[in-house]
Amino acid sequence: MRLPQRPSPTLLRFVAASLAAAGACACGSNNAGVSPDLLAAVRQLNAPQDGGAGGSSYPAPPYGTSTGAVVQDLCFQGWIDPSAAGFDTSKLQKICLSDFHDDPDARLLLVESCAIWCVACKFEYGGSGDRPSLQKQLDDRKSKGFRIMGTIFQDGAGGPAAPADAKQWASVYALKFPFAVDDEHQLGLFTSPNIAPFNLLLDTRTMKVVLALDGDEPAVLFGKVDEFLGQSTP
Amino acid sequence: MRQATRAAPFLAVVLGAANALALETPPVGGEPVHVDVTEATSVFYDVNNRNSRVGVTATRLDDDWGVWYNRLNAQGSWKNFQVGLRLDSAVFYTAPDPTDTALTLLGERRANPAAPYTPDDARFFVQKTQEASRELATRYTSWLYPSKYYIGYGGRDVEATLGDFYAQFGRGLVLSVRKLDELASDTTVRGARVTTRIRSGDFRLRLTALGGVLNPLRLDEASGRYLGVTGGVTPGLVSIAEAGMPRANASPFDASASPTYAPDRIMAVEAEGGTRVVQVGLHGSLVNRTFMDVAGTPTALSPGVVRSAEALRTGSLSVNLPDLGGHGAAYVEAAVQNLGYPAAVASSSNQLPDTGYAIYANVTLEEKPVTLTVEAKHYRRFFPLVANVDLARAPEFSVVQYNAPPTTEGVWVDTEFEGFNTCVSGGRAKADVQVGPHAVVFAWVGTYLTWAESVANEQCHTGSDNLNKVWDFASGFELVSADRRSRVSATLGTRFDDTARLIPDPSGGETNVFYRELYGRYEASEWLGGPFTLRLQGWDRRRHQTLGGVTTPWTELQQLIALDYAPRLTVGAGFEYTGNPQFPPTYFNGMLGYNFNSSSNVSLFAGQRRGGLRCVSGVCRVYPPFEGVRVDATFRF
Repeated sequence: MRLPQRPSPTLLRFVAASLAAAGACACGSNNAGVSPDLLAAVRQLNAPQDGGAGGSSYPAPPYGTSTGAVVQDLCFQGWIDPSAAGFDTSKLQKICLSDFHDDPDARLLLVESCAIWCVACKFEYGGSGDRPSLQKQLDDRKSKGFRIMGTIFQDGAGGPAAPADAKQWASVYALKFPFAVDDEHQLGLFTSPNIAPFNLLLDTRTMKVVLALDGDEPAVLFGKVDEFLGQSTP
Repeated sequence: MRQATRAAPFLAVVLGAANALALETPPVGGEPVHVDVTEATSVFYDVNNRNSRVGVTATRLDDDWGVWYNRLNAQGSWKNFQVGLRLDSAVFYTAPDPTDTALTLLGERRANPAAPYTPDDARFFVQKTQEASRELATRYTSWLYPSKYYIGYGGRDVEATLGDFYAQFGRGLVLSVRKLDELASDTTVRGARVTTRIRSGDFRLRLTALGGVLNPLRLDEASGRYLGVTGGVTPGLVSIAEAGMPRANASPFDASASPTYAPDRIMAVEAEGGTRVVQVGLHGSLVNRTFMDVAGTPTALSPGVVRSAEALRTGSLSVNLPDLGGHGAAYVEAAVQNLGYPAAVASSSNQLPDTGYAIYANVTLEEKPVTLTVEAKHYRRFFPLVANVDLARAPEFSVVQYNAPPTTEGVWVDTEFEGFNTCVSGGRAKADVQVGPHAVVFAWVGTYLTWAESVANEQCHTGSDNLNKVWDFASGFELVSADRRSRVSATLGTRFDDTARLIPDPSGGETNVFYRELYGRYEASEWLGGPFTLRLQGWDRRRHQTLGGVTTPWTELQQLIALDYAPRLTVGAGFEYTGNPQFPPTYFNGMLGYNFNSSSNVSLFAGQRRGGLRCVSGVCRVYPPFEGVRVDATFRF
């Protein structure tokens, strides 16, 4: 039995801000605590011109995080090709999910989230024994429309990742696929900061979640990747 | 301060409850009725636990919250019948607010608070509000629910239980659902169990059959998290077992609630028979999942090699020699495990594990003054039967599992990393020598080859590229005073865990060192005369983990000192230290306990407690750090 919940004096403004953020209401600006300016800026987010580099072709709200839901257009600072950029942190640029949506050859995007402290992430990227590296997994499937974007969200001490951490990681594994800094843990929308690696598979045509996978589960992950690429019509 | 004031009425309830209940019942049908009522209650308030990270919402949402957590346990017995009910409730009298949290994070992010809000500020605010509201949808929700209930019959030849019960077959390879206080885990089967005993001369046979729905504890007091179900994961009879249990909440950003737990079903049988010389057991269990239907594909809440299996079949044969002519005992158990996947999952991957197996043996030899214990294990693709829990939204419940393959190591060992125990061969030999009437010295050596610690290796490929070699050494002593009022035990140990291949070193080189540790553990109680006893306890470690994010070795200290004024009062103080830069270095706390009688007590804890991994017999969970005050009380009537 659910008991009466604690009184929440901020409930109304919370719900209002929530609905406004989801584009589901034109909430007023009389919410104590959340300034009118901030609410106005929030409402502007849903304007067509907002989003990543892809612009207005990106699917419209509502956005969600569960399997089958359309994800919002997240943007990061990173390299399109870290090796080609020489892992130079001065060459970081804006990379958005919409970039992959706008790629006509892309069909499935793996968004990976790792941290310097994460042991399992190191073996996901580097491979081991008969397990291929993440770069090799991509190379084997790239012609079928598979894409990978790696992100790093924390350093070795659990603090927010810095460009130097991205440089260290990308250079150790000689990455040639997009790799970005997620210092604000935007992928926290989908998972806990205690979980790494986190792997998110997105259908790049619909930007819907195909699979959200907590932890290093290569059999499940690449089983799903191959199933999708085998089934999906080019 | 406002929250502390709110806690005051609850404390009054707790402290005033001692005389609130007293149950006596007259005989019924000429037989007495025994009623046992235990009330365990906790009130605590967690202030800032110092784990906050810039921009990380979840680390802000475990500060400034408080709960009154109550467990009312009533049991009755009459003749051969028993009945019991445990009601759990949690009332969160204060908790973080998602909007406030997002505003705080936004304020920290903006260099100039007076500047107009930018689209990027708005995006950040929305995202953090979403994160916070989704996180809070699974936490800090007040519930009252029947956590355990049962009615049972216990006769000489037949025992039967309807409702909740614990169960363990053999040494836990096939089935082990029980209470682990150290991990705040308490899992039962909610269903039916029948046990019959047959005797013929020296021969004894015990048959057990059980079935039902697995029922883990739904509220995690350390985090305020709860496990919630929905109608989508409680089909048919499961809905009866789940009646009255916590339901999942939807956040304002989600169209519908998503479960954090999908109740697993189990059927299991056991036959154990033999004489005083040899006993043979057959054990079997079948765990069945309920999956979410996602675009026509049955999907686990957190897909994985074990959680995505729909049917988990485990069986074993055990042989027990309880008495080797007065010089020891021996036990061996061999098990097989098959994971069956939905067709859509099985057809999508050729990397899923084949049928696995496990062999465990334990031999104890006694020839005074020496006792030698040898434990060995040989596991291939043998997995813990983990529950269908959403790890992203309820990570605290990753500990819920329905078997417990023996580790052969000390119960406290927390250094079997990743899938260590799923693909391993090795064991431990321990010798105890009685060197005097009140003194024992001991030593052990353990060695293991594991192929699933430094790499994900569900198929258990045993090539050298996957191999870790582990050596574990320890020695120590136990001394007891002649009057048995004072005692001391101490253990000094070390562990070497190396990969067979070279792995990258944080300094830029390569190394075979995967993990190293040197540690000391001790426990002492010294009778000071009269009612006074001094108690000391400690666990001090020097650790080095090449790939764990800490570039250099670090130290961990954990010390506790307490003074008992028997039989009523205990006063204690604790200190913890960690050199791991991922956590604050120092932790101080104090404790005061008072015993009303042998079964009713109250205790106060105030201060800080370090978070991190805690393990019991290979079952581990990550605890959040705690900083605040808590009062625990237990009353038995």
